[in-house]
Amino acid sequence: MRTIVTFKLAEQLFGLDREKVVAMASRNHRKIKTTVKGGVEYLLLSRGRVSRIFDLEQLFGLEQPGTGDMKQLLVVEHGQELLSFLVSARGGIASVREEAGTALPPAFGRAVPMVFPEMLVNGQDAILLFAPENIHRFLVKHTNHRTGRSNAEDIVE
Amino acid sequence: MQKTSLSEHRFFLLPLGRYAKESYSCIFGQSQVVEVMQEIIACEVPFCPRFMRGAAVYGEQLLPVICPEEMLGLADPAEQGPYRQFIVIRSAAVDPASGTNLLAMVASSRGLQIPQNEEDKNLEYFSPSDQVPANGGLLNGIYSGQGRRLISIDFDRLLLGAAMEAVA
Repeated sequence: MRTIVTFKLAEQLFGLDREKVVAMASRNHRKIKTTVKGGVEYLLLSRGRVSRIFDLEQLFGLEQPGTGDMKQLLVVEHGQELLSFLVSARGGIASVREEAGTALPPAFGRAVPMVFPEMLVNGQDAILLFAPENIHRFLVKHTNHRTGRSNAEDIVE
Repeated sequence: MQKTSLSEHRFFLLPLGRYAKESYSCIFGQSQVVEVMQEIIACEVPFCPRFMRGAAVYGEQLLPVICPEEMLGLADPAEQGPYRQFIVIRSAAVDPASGTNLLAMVASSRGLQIPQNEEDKNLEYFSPSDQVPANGGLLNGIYSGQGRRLISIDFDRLLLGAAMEAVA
């Protein structure tokens, strides 16, 4: 079995494998400490480490007005570093069969399925699985087609 | 430009661009249309062109949801109402992984029609160069006449990822 942590972006469900998730907390939790340098927000971690915070709604072009203060912070592990993502809301935890996901078809090209390798269906819900380990390469190379802005310019340092 | 008779072919029309000055429709061969659905389970997929509205569940597979009005630049930004129909379209392109024909789900706010007008069946054929506001490179061609334009989308290229080449 595979365990998936789900979260919402603009009322749409996304998920990622539970073993990648280090922590999830309200952005406004008293123990969450952040700092802003050069207009970029970082999460302050133990032993002086920092992790850049990415707003996934903004990054994915799914922004909804008025949810800024309610957002949740999702921290995931990627090799030696931690990535922090702002999401709209927590979802839940789902246990699914290993082979439950369905891959995106060739119409979505090569790059997008690297970041969203599979979709799960749970009743009437569709959950798009997110592979955070592939987001960096995507950020550097690609443009947000909905906003017309370059993610490289907007997000990458 | 050449005269082309469509009278020997059976086809369906999908009216587009409710607010466009000219009358545009998508044209589908009878063998292309697999099924018409009213409700689907789907989710939006980020980083895609706006006309790719997401991925939808169809049996054991996922299909890209295509909005022709968005694709051709004929959508009214003020009109973002729900889609009325989802038309499953079969292409001639084959999925390299499964060996089966690739399918698409076309989202429509107006609904598929059977052509009633005989004038629709004897039209002139144009290459798609500058006949539509956007994405002419993803079309097979356009049939034009009697103040209407019937647009044939190149689903073979689209379903093999042509719309995502800029993102590849």
